[in-house]
Amino acid sequence: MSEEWSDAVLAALSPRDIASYLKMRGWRHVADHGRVIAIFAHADQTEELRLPVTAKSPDFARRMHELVINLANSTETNPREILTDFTLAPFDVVRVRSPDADDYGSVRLEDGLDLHYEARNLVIAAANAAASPEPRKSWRGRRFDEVTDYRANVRLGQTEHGSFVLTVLSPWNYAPAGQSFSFSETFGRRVTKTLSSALAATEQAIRQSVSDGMAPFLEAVPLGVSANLCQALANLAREGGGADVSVSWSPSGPPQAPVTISLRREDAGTLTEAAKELGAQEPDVGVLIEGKITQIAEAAEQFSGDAVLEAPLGNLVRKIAVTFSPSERELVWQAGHDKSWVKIVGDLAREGRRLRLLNPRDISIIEPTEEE
Amino acid sequence: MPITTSDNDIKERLSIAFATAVAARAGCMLVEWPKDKQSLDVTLRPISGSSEIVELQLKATSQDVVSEAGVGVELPIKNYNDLRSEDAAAPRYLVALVLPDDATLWLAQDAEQLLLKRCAYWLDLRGMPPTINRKTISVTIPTSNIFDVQSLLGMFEIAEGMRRQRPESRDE
Repeated sequence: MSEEWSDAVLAALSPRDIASYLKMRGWRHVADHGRVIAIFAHADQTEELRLPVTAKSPDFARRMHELVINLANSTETNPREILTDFTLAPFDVVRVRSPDADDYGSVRLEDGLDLHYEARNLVIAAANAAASPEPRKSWRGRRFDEVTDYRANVRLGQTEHGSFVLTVLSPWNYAPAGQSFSFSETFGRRVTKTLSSALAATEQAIRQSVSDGMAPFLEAVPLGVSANLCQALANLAREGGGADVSVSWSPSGPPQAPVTISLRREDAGTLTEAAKELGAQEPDVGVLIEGKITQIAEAAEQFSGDAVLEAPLGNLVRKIAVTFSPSERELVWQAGHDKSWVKIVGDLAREGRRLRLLNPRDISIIEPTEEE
Repeated sequence: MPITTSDNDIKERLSIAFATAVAARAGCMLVEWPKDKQSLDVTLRPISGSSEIVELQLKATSQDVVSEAGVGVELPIKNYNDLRSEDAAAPRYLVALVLPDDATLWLAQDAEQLLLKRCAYWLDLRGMPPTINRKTISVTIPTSNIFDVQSLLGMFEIAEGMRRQRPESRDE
Protein backbone atom coordinates (compact mmCIF):
# COMPACT_ATOMS: atom_id res chain seq x y z
CA MET A 1 0.00 0.00 0.00
CA SER A 2 1.51 3.31 -1.05
CA GLU A 3 -0.36 5.52 1.40
CA GLU A 4 0.47 5.46 5.10
CA TRP A 5 -2.27 6.64 7.40
CA SER A 6 -2.62 6.25 11.10
CA ASP A 7 -4.77 3.38 12.26
CA ALA A 8 -6.46 5.79 14.65
CA VAL A 9 -7.72 7.90 11.72
CA LEU A 10 -8.96 4.85 9.84
CA ALA A 11 -10.50 3.26 12.94
CA ALA A 12 -12.48 6.43 13.65
CA LEU A 13 -14.28 6.40 10.30
CA SER A 14 -18.03 5.93 10.39
CA PRO A 15 -19.28 3.01 8.25
CA ARG A 16 -22.82 4.42 8.32
CA ASP A 17 -21.75 7.80 6.92
CA ILE A 18 -19.47 6.19 4.36
CA ALA A 19 -22.33 3.99 3.20
CA SER A 20 -24.42 7.16 2.70
CA TYR A 21 -21.48 8.74 0.87
CA LEU A 22 -21.25 5.79 -1.51
CA LYS A 23 -25.00 5.61 -2.13
CA MET A 24 -25.13 9.33 -2.89
CA ARG A 25 -22.51 8.73 -5.58
CA GLY A 26 -24.28 5.91 -7.34
CA TRP A 27 -22.86 2.88 -5.53
CA ARG A 28 -25.36 0.18 -4.58
CA HIS A 29 -25.15 -2.31 -1.76
CA VAL A 30 -25.31 -5.52 -3.78
CA ALA A 31 -23.98 -8.21 -1.45
CA ASP A 32 -22.64 -9.01 1.97
CA HIS A 33 -19.53 -10.92 2.86
CA GLY A 34 -19.44 -12.78 6.13
CA ARG A 35 -20.86 -10.82 9.01
CA VAL A 36 -18.97 -7.59 8.70
CA ILE A 37 -18.53 -6.60 5.05
CA ALA A 38 -21.02 -4.85 2.79
CA ILE A 39 -20.15 -5.03 -0.91
CA PHE A 40 -21.00 -2.04 -3.11
CA ALA A 41 -21.08 -1.93 -6.89
CA HIS A 42 -21.50 0.95 -9.33
CA ALA A 43 -23.33 0.78 -12.62
CA ASP A 44 -20.44 2.59 -14.33
CA GLN A 45 -17.64 0.65 -12.70
CA THR A 46 -16.51 -2.94 -12.91
CA GLU A 47 -14.88 -2.87 -9.49
CA GLU A 48 -16.55 -3.68 -6.22
CA LEU A 49 -15.94 -1.86 -2.96
CA ARG A 50 -15.94 -3.61 0.41
CA LEU A 51 -17.13 -1.59 3.37
CA PRO A 52 -16.46 -2.99 6.86
CA VAL A 53 -19.64 -2.28 8.79
CA THR A 54 -18.37 -2.57 12.33
CA ALA A 55 -15.30 -1.12 14.00
CA LYS A 56 -15.24 -4.23 16.18
CA SER A 57 -13.51 -6.10 13.38
CA PRO A 58 -9.86 -6.63 14.22
CA ASP A 59 -9.01 -5.75 10.61
CA PHE A 60 -11.39 -2.77 10.38
CA ALA A 61 -8.62 -0.18 9.81
CA ARG A 62 -6.99 -2.33 7.15
CA ARG A 63 -10.24 -2.85 5.26
CA MET A 64 -10.96 0.88 5.44
CA HIS A 65 -7.50 1.54 4.05
CA GLU A 66 -8.26 -0.75 1.10
CA LEU A 67 -11.63 0.90 0.57
CA VAL A 68 -10.03 4.34 0.34
CA ILE A 69 -7.41 3.13 -2.14
CA ASN A 70 -9.88 1.16 -4.24
CA LEU A 71 -12.37 4.03 -4.41
CA ALA A 72 -9.58 6.45 -5.32
CA ASN A 73 -8.43 4.12 -8.11
CA SER A 74 -11.97 3.61 -9.33
CA THR A 75 -12.77 7.33 -9.45
CA GLU A 76 -9.27 8.51 -10.37
CA THR A 77 -9.19 10.69 -7.29
CA ASN A 78 -6.33 11.37 -4.90
CA PRO A 79 -6.72 8.90 -2.00
CA ARG A 80 -6.10 11.72 0.46
CA GLU A 81 -9.16 13.55 -0.86
CA ILE A 82 -11.22 10.40 -0.39
CA LEU A 83 -9.95 9.99 3.16
CA THR A 84 -10.73 13.65 3.92
CA ASP A 85 -14.27 13.15 2.62
CA PHE A 86 -14.64 10.01 4.72
CA THR A 87 -13.27 11.73 7.81
CA LEU A 88 -15.67 14.63 7.41
CA ALA A 89 -18.64 12.46 6.46
CA PRO A 90 -20.25 12.76 9.92
CA PHE A 91 -19.99 16.55 9.87
CA ASP A 92 -21.17 19.70 8.24
CA VAL A 93 -18.17 22.00 8.28
CA VAL A 94 -18.16 25.67 9.21
CA ARG A 95 -15.01 27.39 8.00
CA VAL A 96 -13.82 30.79 9.12
CA ARG A 97 -11.04 32.23 7.02
CA SER A 98 -9.05 35.20 8.13
CA PRO A 99 -7.29 37.00 5.29
CA ASP A 100 -5.10 38.70 7.89
CA ALA A 101 -2.59 35.84 7.91
CA ASP A 102 1.04 36.03 6.87
CA ASP A 103 2.70 33.98 4.13
CA TYR A 104 2.92 30.97 6.43
CA GLY A 105 -0.81 31.10 7.11
CA SER A 106 -0.23 32.12 10.70
CA VAL A 107 -2.00 34.85 12.67
CA ARG A 108 -1.19 36.56 15.93
CA LEU A 109 -2.05 34.33 18.87
CA GLU A 110 -4.49 36.86 20.33
CA ASP A 111 -6.28 37.21 16.99
CA GLY A 112 -6.41 33.45 16.61
CA LEU A 113 -8.02 33.07 20.01
CA ASP A 114 -10.62 35.69 19.09
CA LEU A 115 -11.38 33.90 15.82
CA HIS A 116 -12.02 30.66 17.67
CA TYR A 117 -14.16 32.37 20.30
CA GLU A 118 -16.30 34.14 17.72
CA ALA A 119 -16.64 31.04 15.56
CA ARG A 120 -18.03 29.31 18.64
CA ASN A 121 -20.44 32.21 19.27
CA LEU A 122 -21.57 32.03 15.66
CA VAL A 123 -22.45 28.35 15.91
CA ILE A 124 -24.17 28.80 19.28
CA ALA A 125 -26.26 31.67 17.91
CA ALA A 126 -27.38 29.42 15.05
CA ALA A 127 -28.08 26.56 17.45
CA ASN A 128 -30.24 28.80 19.65
CA ALA A 129 -32.18 29.96 16.61
CA ALA A 130 -32.64 26.35 15.47
CA ALA A 131 -33.81 25.26 18.92
CA SER A 132 -36.20 28.12 19.60
CA PRO A 133 -39.86 27.53 18.82
CA GLU A 134 -40.11 31.16 17.71
CA PRO A 135 -37.62 33.62 16.22
CA ARG A 136 -35.74 35.78 18.71
CA LYS A 137 -33.66 38.88 18.13
CA SER A 138 -31.15 38.11 20.83
CA TRP A 139 -30.05 35.26 23.08
CA ARG A 140 -29.09 36.02 26.64
CA GLY A 141 -28.66 33.89 29.70
CA ARG A 142 -30.82 30.87 29.30
CA ARG A 143 -30.01 28.20 26.77
CA PHE A 144 -31.98 25.33 25.37
CA ASP A 145 -31.03 21.87 26.61
CA GLU A 146 -30.45 20.57 23.09
CA VAL A 147 -28.08 23.48 22.43
CA THR A 148 -26.03 22.56 25.49
CA ASP A 149 -25.89 18.92 24.37
CA TYR A 150 -25.18 19.86 20.77
CA ARG A 151 -22.30 22.11 21.86
CA ALA A 152 -20.72 19.15 23.59
CA ASN A 153 -20.73 17.32 20.25
CA VAL A 154 -19.29 20.08 18.08
CA ARG A 155 -15.60 19.63 17.33
CA LEU A 156 -12.75 21.81 16.23
CA GLY A 157 -11.13 20.39 13.12
CA GLN A 158 -7.63 20.75 11.79
CA THR A 159 -6.78 24.21 10.55
CA GLU A 160 -6.43 24.30 6.78
CA HIS A 161 -3.92 25.99 4.52
CA GLY A 162 -4.97 29.12 2.68
CA SER A 163 -4.60 32.24 4.81
CA PHE A 164 -5.73 31.06 8.23
CA VAL A 165 -8.74 28.77 8.11
CA LEU A 166 -10.26 27.28 11.22
CA THR A 167 -12.84 24.55 10.89
CA VAL A 168 -15.75 23.81 13.17
CA LEU A 169 -17.16 20.32 12.70
CA SER A 170 -20.88 20.18 13.34
CA PRO A 171 -22.31 16.65 13.60
CA TRP A 172 -25.06 16.79 11.00
CA ASN A 173 -26.91 13.77 12.36
CA TYR A 174 -26.83 14.90 15.98
CA ALA A 175 -30.28 14.48 17.47
CA PRO A 176 -30.84 15.04 21.18
CA ALA A 177 -32.64 12.33 23.10
CA GLY A 178 -36.36 12.76 22.66
CA GLN A 179 -36.10 15.00 19.60
CA SER A 180 -39.56 15.88 18.45
CA PHE A 181 -40.82 13.86 15.52
CA SER A 182 -42.32 17.05 14.15
CA PHE A 183 -38.86 17.81 12.70
CA SER A 184 -37.93 15.93 9.57
CA GLU A 185 -34.27 16.85 10.01
CA THR A 186 -31.82 16.19 12.79
CA PHE A 187 -31.01 19.04 15.14
CA GLY A 188 -27.42 19.09 13.88
CA ARG A 189 -28.55 19.67 10.30
CA ARG A 190 -31.09 22.30 11.41
CA VAL A 191 -28.28 24.22 13.08
CA THR A 192 -26.14 24.36 9.94
CA LYS A 193 -29.13 25.13 7.73
CA THR A 194 -30.09 27.94 10.09
CA LEU A 195 -26.53 29.22 10.04
CA SER A 196 -26.38 29.16 6.25
CA SER A 197 -29.72 30.95 5.89
CA ALA A 198 -28.66 33.50 8.51
CA LEU A 199 -25.34 34.12 6.76
CA ALA A 200 -27.04 34.67 3.41
CA ALA A 201 -29.63 36.95 5.01
CA THR A 202 -26.93 38.91 6.83
CA GLU A 203 -24.99 39.50 3.63
CA GLN A 204 -28.14 40.81 1.99
CA ALA A 205 -29.05 42.93 5.01
CA ILE A 206 -25.61 44.56 4.97
CA ARG A 207 -26.21 45.64 1.38
CA GLN A 208 -29.75 46.84 2.04
CA SER A 209 -28.75 48.71 5.20
CA VAL A 210 -26.98 51.30 3.06
CA SER A 211 -30.37 52.70 2.11
CA ASP A 212 -32.77 51.14 4.63
CA GLY A 213 -30.87 51.35 7.91
CA MET A 214 -31.25 48.51 10.40
CA ALA A 215 -34.70 47.37 9.23
CA PRO A 216 -33.34 44.60 6.93
CA PHE A 217 -31.60 42.99 9.91
CA LEU A 218 -34.85 42.99 11.90
CA GLU A 219 -36.69 41.48 8.96
CA ALA A 220 -34.06 38.73 8.74
CA VAL A 221 -34.66 37.50 12.30
CA PRO A 222 -36.92 34.63 11.13
CA LEU A 223 -33.97 33.41 9.00
CA GLY A 224 -31.77 33.04 12.07
CA VAL A 225 -30.20 36.50 12.23
CA SER A 226 -29.74 37.65 15.83
CA ALA A 227 -27.76 40.16 17.84
CA ASN A 228 -25.36 37.40 18.85
CA LEU A 229 -24.77 36.28 15.27
CA CYS A 230 -24.23 39.86 14.08
CA GLN A 231 -21.85 40.61 16.96
CA ALA A 232 -19.83 37.45 16.30
CA LEU A 233 -19.57 38.33 12.59
CA ALA A 234 -18.67 41.92 13.47
CA ASN A 235 -15.84 40.77 15.72
CA LEU A 236 -14.59 38.31 13.10
CA ALA A 237 -14.55 41.04 10.45
CA ARG A 238 -12.85 43.51 12.77
CA GLU A 239 -10.23 41.22 14.31
CA GLY A 240 -9.42 39.28 11.16
CA GLY A 241 -9.22 42.21 8.77
CA GLY A 242 -12.36 40.86 7.13
CA ALA A 243 -13.50 37.24 7.18
CA ASP A 244 -14.93 34.55 4.96
CA VAL A 245 -17.42 32.29 6.70
CA SER A 246 -18.77 29.25 4.93
CA VAL A 247 -20.93 26.25 5.62
CA SER A 248 -20.26 23.11 3.60
CA TRP A 249 -22.31 20.00 3.86
CA SER A 250 -21.39 16.51 4.92
CA PRO A 251 -20.00 14.48 2.01
CA SER A 252 -22.37 11.71 3.07
CA GLY A 253 -25.29 13.75 1.73
CA PRO A 254 -26.12 14.77 -1.81
CA PRO A 255 -23.50 17.16 -3.22
CA GLN A 256 -24.54 20.76 -2.51
CA ALA A 257 -22.76 24.04 -3.02
CA PRO A 258 -21.36 25.54 0.18
CA VAL A 259 -22.83 28.80 1.49
CA THR A 260 -20.21 31.53 1.88
CA ILE A 261 -20.31 35.06 3.20
CA SER A 262 -17.39 37.44 2.67
CA LEU A 263 -17.07 40.28 5.14
CA ARG A 264 -14.81 43.28 4.92
CA ARG A 265 -13.40 45.08 7.92
CA GLU A 266 -15.74 48.00 7.10
CA ASP A 267 -18.75 45.74 7.63
CA ALA A 268 -17.89 45.40 11.32
CA GLY A 269 -19.45 48.77 12.14
CA THR A 270 -22.73 47.96 10.43
CA LEU A 271 -22.90 44.57 12.07
CA THR A 272 -22.16 46.00 15.53
CA GLU A 273 -24.93 48.55 15.08
CA ALA A 274 -27.30 45.78 13.97
CA ALA A 275 -26.35 43.73 17.01
CA LYS A 276 -27.17 46.65 19.31
CA GLU A 277 -30.49 47.28 17.61
CA LEU A 278 -31.50 43.62 17.72
CA GLY A 279 -30.34 43.25 21.32
CA ALA A 280 -32.29 46.31 22.41
CA GLN A 281 -35.51 44.94 20.98
CA GLU A 282 -35.46 41.56 22.64
CA PRO A 283 -36.55 41.20 26.26
CA ASP A 284 -34.34 39.30 28.65
CA VAL A 285 -36.63 36.42 29.52
CA GLY A 286 -37.01 35.16 33.08
CA VAL A 287 -34.81 37.78 34.74
CA LEU A 288 -34.83 37.89 38.56
CA ILE A 289 -34.78 41.48 39.78
CA GLU A 290 -34.51 42.71 43.34
CA GLY A 291 -35.43 46.32 44.18
CA LYS A 292 -37.84 48.75 45.72
CA ILE A 293 -41.31 49.69 44.47
CA THR A 294 -41.69 53.44 44.01
CA GLN A 295 -43.96 56.05 42.45
CA ILE A 296 -47.27 54.72 43.72
CA ALA A 297 -49.22 57.88 44.38
CA GLU A 298 -52.72 56.41 44.68
CA ALA A 299 -54.41 55.02 47.74
CA ALA A 300 -54.47 51.23 47.92
CA GLU A 301 -58.00 50.88 46.62
CA GLN A 302 -57.27 53.16 43.62
CA PHE A 303 -53.94 51.59 42.71
CA SER A 304 -53.97 50.95 38.94
CA GLY A 305 -51.06 48.49 38.96
CA ASP A 306 -48.57 50.87 37.29
CA ALA A 307 -45.41 51.26 39.36
CA VAL A 308 -41.69 51.75 39.08
CA LEU A 309 -39.12 49.33 40.40
CA GLU A 310 -35.76 50.84 41.37
CA ALA A 311 -33.21 48.11 41.11
CA PRO A 312 -29.45 47.77 40.71
CA LEU A 313 -28.52 46.57 37.20
CA GLY A 314 -24.83 46.34 36.57
CA ASN A 315 -23.22 49.33 38.22
CA LEU A 316 -26.33 51.52 38.03
CA VAL A 317 -29.63 51.75 39.85
CA ARG A 318 -32.22 51.77 37.07
CA LYS A 319 -35.89 52.65 37.05
CA ILE A 320 -37.96 49.87 35.54
CA ALA A 321 -41.61 50.35 34.65
CA VAL A 322 -43.90 47.50 35.68
CA THR A 323 -47.63 46.95 35.35
CA PHE A 324 -48.95 44.52 37.94
CA SER A 325 -52.07 42.39 37.60
CA PRO A 326 -55.01 42.89 40.01
CA SER A 327 -54.08 39.81 42.05
CA GLU A 328 -50.64 41.25 42.84
CA ARG A 329 -51.64 44.88 43.48
CA GLU A 330 -52.31 44.62 47.20
CA LEU A 331 -48.91 43.03 47.87
CA VAL A 332 -47.13 45.50 45.61
CA TRP A 333 -48.91 48.54 47.07
CA GLN A 334 -48.01 47.43 50.59
CA ALA A 335 -44.38 46.85 49.59
CA GLY A 336 -44.27 50.34 48.07
CA HIS A 337 -45.87 51.86 51.16
CA ASP A 338 -43.46 50.05 53.51
CA LYS A 339 -40.45 50.70 51.22
CA SER A 340 -39.77 46.98 51.35
CA TRP A 341 -37.43 45.24 48.92
CA VAL A 342 -39.10 42.77 46.60
CA LYS A 343 -38.02 39.97 44.32
CA ILE A 344 -39.75 39.76 40.94
CA VAL A 345 -39.18 37.51 37.94
CA GLY A 346 -40.07 38.97 34.53
CA ASP A 347 -38.95 39.66 30.97
CA LEU A 348 -36.80 42.78 30.80
CA ALA A 349 -37.42 44.86 27.68
CA ARG A 350 -36.14 48.18 26.44
CA GLU A 351 -38.54 50.88 25.28
CA GLY A 352 -36.28 53.48 23.77
CA ARG A 353 -34.09 54.56 26.70
CA ARG A 354 -36.47 53.15 29.30
CA LEU A 355 -36.71 49.68 30.74
CA ARG A 356 -39.91 47.76 31.27
CA LEU A 357 -40.42 44.46 33.07
CA LEU A 358 -42.98 42.38 31.17
CA ASN A 359 -44.93 39.46 32.59
CA PRO A 360 -44.03 40.13 36.25
CA ARG A 361 -44.43 36.97 38.34
CA ASP A 362 -43.22 35.15 41.43
CA ILE A 363 -43.32 38.36 43.46
CA SER A 364 -42.19 38.16 47.07
CA ILE A 365 -41.09 40.51 49.84
CA ILE A 366 -37.45 40.28 50.92
CA GLU A 367 -37.63 40.20 54.70
CA PRO A 368 -34.81 42.13 56.36
CA THR A 369 -32.54 40.16 58.63
CA GLU A 370 -30.20 41.40 61.34
CA GLU A 371 -27.97 38.38 61.19
CA GLU A 372 -24.74 38.44 59.19
CA MET B 1 30.02 -2.34 6.70
CA PRO B 2 28.69 -5.91 6.86
CA ILE B 3 25.02 -6.86 6.92
CA THR B 4 24.04 -7.57 10.53
CA THR B 5 20.43 -8.67 10.07
CA SER B 6 19.34 -11.09 12.80
CA ASP B 7 18.32 -14.68 12.09
CA ASN B 8 14.80 -13.89 13.26
CA ASP B 9 14.47 -11.11 10.70
CA ILE B 10 15.82 -13.40 7.99
CA LYS B 11 13.29 -16.09 8.95
CA GLU B 12 10.51 -13.51 8.76
CA ARG B 13 11.60 -12.43 5.29
CA LEU B 14 11.83 -16.06 4.19
CA SER B 15 8.26 -16.68 5.41
CA ILE B 16 7.09 -13.73 3.30
CA ALA B 17 9.09 -15.05 0.35
CA PHE B 18 7.49 -18.48 0.82
CA ALA B 19 3.97 -17.05 0.93
CA THR B 20 4.74 -14.77 -2.03
CA ALA B 21 5.93 -17.71 -4.12
CA VAL B 22 2.90 -19.89 -3.34
CA ALA B 23 0.55 -16.94 -3.92
CA ALA B 24 2.22 -16.05 -7.22
CA ARG B 25 1.79 -19.59 -8.48
CA ALA B 26 -1.88 -19.38 -7.52
CA GLY B 27 -2.22 -16.12 -9.46
CA CYS B 28 -2.26 -13.85 -6.44
CA MET B 29 -0.28 -10.92 -5.21
CA LEU B 30 0.84 -10.32 -1.67
CA VAL B 31 0.46 -7.03 0.20
CA GLU B 32 2.68 -6.65 3.21
CA TRP B 33 1.35 -4.40 5.94
CA PRO B 34 3.64 -2.36 8.17
CA LYS B 35 4.98 -4.51 10.96
CA ASP B 36 3.04 -4.58 14.21
CA LYS B 37 0.20 -2.60 12.71
CA GLN B 38 -2.06 -5.49 13.58
CA SER B 39 -1.32 -9.07 14.33
CA LEU B 40 -1.65 -10.16 10.69
CA ASP B 41 1.19 -9.71 8.32
CA VAL B 42 0.07 -10.09 4.73
CA THR B 43 -3.01 -9.91 2.53
CA LEU B 44 -3.29 -12.08 -0.57
CA ARG B 45 -5.53 -11.08 -3.46
CA PRO B 46 -5.96 -12.41 -6.98
CA ILE B 47 -4.20 -10.28 -9.56
CA SER B 48 -7.29 -10.51 -11.71
CA GLY B 49 -10.70 -12.14 -11.44
CA SER B 50 -12.10 -12.72 -7.98
CA SER B 51 -12.16 -9.75 -5.59
CA GLU B 52 -11.83 -11.98 -2.55
CA ILE B 53 -8.93 -11.58 -0.15
CA VAL B 54 -7.23 -13.91 2.29
CA GLU B 55 -5.04 -12.81 5.16
CA LEU B 56 -2.15 -14.71 6.65
CA GLN B 57 -0.39 -14.35 9.97
CA LEU B 58 3.07 -15.55 9.19
CA LYS B 59 5.37 -17.20 11.68
CA ALA B 60 8.75 -18.79 11.09
CA THR B 61 10.77 -21.08 13.31
CA SER B 62 13.89 -23.20 13.02
CA GLN B 63 13.16 -25.11 16.21
CA ASP B 64 12.15 -28.74 16.29
CA VAL B 65 8.41 -28.17 16.49
CA VAL B 66 7.13 -31.01 14.33
CA SER B 67 5.99 -34.14 16.14
CA GLU B 68 3.44 -36.88 15.60
CA ALA B 69 0.86 -34.65 17.23
CA GLY B 70 1.47 -31.89 14.72
CA VAL B 71 3.34 -28.62 14.46
CA GLY B 72 3.49 -26.75 17.77
CA VAL B 73 3.35 -22.97 17.52
CA GLU B 74 3.54 -20.54 20.42
CA LEU B 75 1.28 -17.56 19.70
CA PRO B 76 1.08 -14.24 21.56
CA ILE B 77 -2.41 -13.86 23.05
CA LYS B 78 -3.17 -10.81 20.89
CA ASN B 79 -2.43 -12.79 17.74
CA TYR B 80 -4.51 -15.69 19.02
CA ASN B 81 -7.49 -13.49 19.83
CA ASP B 82 -7.34 -11.71 16.49
CA LEU B 83 -7.08 -15.00 14.60
CA ARG B 84 -9.96 -16.65 16.45
CA SER B 85 -12.26 -13.58 16.09
CA GLU B 86 -15.41 -14.21 14.10
CA ASP B 87 -15.76 -10.48 13.48
CA ALA B 88 -12.82 -10.30 11.10
CA ALA B 89 -13.83 -8.93 7.73
CA ALA B 90 -11.52 -11.23 5.77
CA PRO B 91 -10.83 -14.93 6.37
CA ARG B 92 -7.38 -15.35 7.80
CA TYR B 93 -5.08 -18.14 8.70
CA LEU B 94 -2.00 -18.82 10.71
CA VAL B 95 0.85 -19.96 8.47
CA ALA B 96 3.97 -21.29 10.17
CA LEU B 97 7.13 -21.82 8.16
CA VAL B 98 9.34 -24.50 9.67
CA LEU B 99 12.99 -24.17 8.67
CA PRO B 100 15.94 -26.45 9.30
CA ASP B 101 17.86 -25.92 12.51
CA ASP B 102 21.02 -25.19 10.51
CA ALA B 103 20.71 -21.71 9.04
CA THR B 104 23.04 -22.60 6.16
CA LEU B 105 20.36 -25.02 4.92
CA TRP B 106 17.49 -22.54 4.84
CA LEU B 107 17.97 -21.63 1.21
CA ALA B 108 19.76 -23.54 -1.50
CA GLN B 109 20.24 -22.33 -5.04
CA ASP B 110 21.91 -23.59 -8.17
CA ALA B 111 21.37 -23.44 -11.90
CA GLU B 112 18.45 -25.85 -11.62
CA GLN B 113 16.49 -24.63 -8.66
CA LEU B 114 15.81 -22.21 -5.86
CA LEU B 115 15.13 -24.38 -2.85
CA LEU B 116 13.54 -23.15 0.34
CA LYS B 117 13.93 -26.05 2.76
CA ARG B 118 11.17 -27.75 4.79
CA CYS B 119 7.62 -26.34 4.53
CA ALA B 120 4.88 -24.14 5.91
CA TYR B 121 1.68 -25.29 7.62
CA TRP B 122 -1.64 -23.48 7.94
CA LEU B 123 -4.33 -23.38 10.61
CA ASP B 124 -7.78 -21.78 10.78
CA LEU B 125 -8.34 -20.54 14.32
CA ARG B 126 -11.66 -18.82 13.69
CA GLY B 127 -14.14 -19.68 16.43
CA MET B 128 -11.59 -21.19 18.79
CA PRO B 129 -12.37 -20.68 22.50
CA PRO B 130 -11.03 -17.82 24.60
CA THR B 131 -8.06 -18.51 26.84
CA ILE B 132 -7.13 -17.48 30.36
CA ASN B 133 -3.45 -17.40 29.38
CA ARG B 134 -1.97 -13.94 29.67
CA LYS B 135 0.99 -13.90 27.34
CA THR B 136 1.08 -16.82 24.93
CA ILE B 137 -0.80 -19.93 23.98
CA SER B 138 0.35 -23.10 22.22
CA VAL B 139 -1.59 -24.24 19.18
CA THR B 140 -1.00 -27.39 17.20
CA ILE B 141 -1.27 -27.52 13.42
CA PRO B 142 -1.97 -30.92 11.79
CA THR B 143 0.99 -31.91 9.62
CA SER B 144 -1.47 -32.57 6.81
CA ASN B 145 -2.19 -28.82 6.62
CA ILE B 146 0.65 -28.02 4.24
CA PHE B 147 0.46 -24.49 2.89
CA ASP B 148 0.61 -24.95 -0.85
CA VAL B 149 -1.16 -23.73 -3.98
CA GLN B 150 -4.06 -26.14 -3.52
CA SER B 151 -4.67 -25.16 0.09
CA LEU B 152 -4.49 -21.48 -0.84
CA LEU B 153 -7.04 -21.95 -3.62
CA GLY B 154 -9.23 -23.71 -1.05
CA MET B 155 -8.98 -20.66 1.20
CA PHE B 156 -10.19 -18.47 -1.65
CA GLU B 157 -13.09 -20.84 -2.28
CA ILE B 158 -14.09 -20.51 1.36
CA ALA B 159 -13.85 -16.73 1.05
CA GLU B 160 -16.05 -16.83 -2.06
CA GLY B 161 -18.59 -18.87 -0.09
CA MET B 162 -18.94 -16.10 2.48
CA ARG B 163 -20.54 -13.84 -0.10
CA ARG B 164 -24.32 -13.47 -0.01
CA GLN B 165 -25.96 -11.60 -2.87
CA ARG B 166 -28.69 -9.18 -1.85
CA PRO B 167 -32.08 -9.28 -3.54
CA GLU B 168 -32.50 -6.32 -5.90
CA SER B 169 -35.55 -5.11 -4.02
CA ARG B 170 -33.63 -4.72 -0.78
CA ASP B 171 -31.33 -2.10 -2.12
CA GLU B 172 -32.36 1.50 -1.81
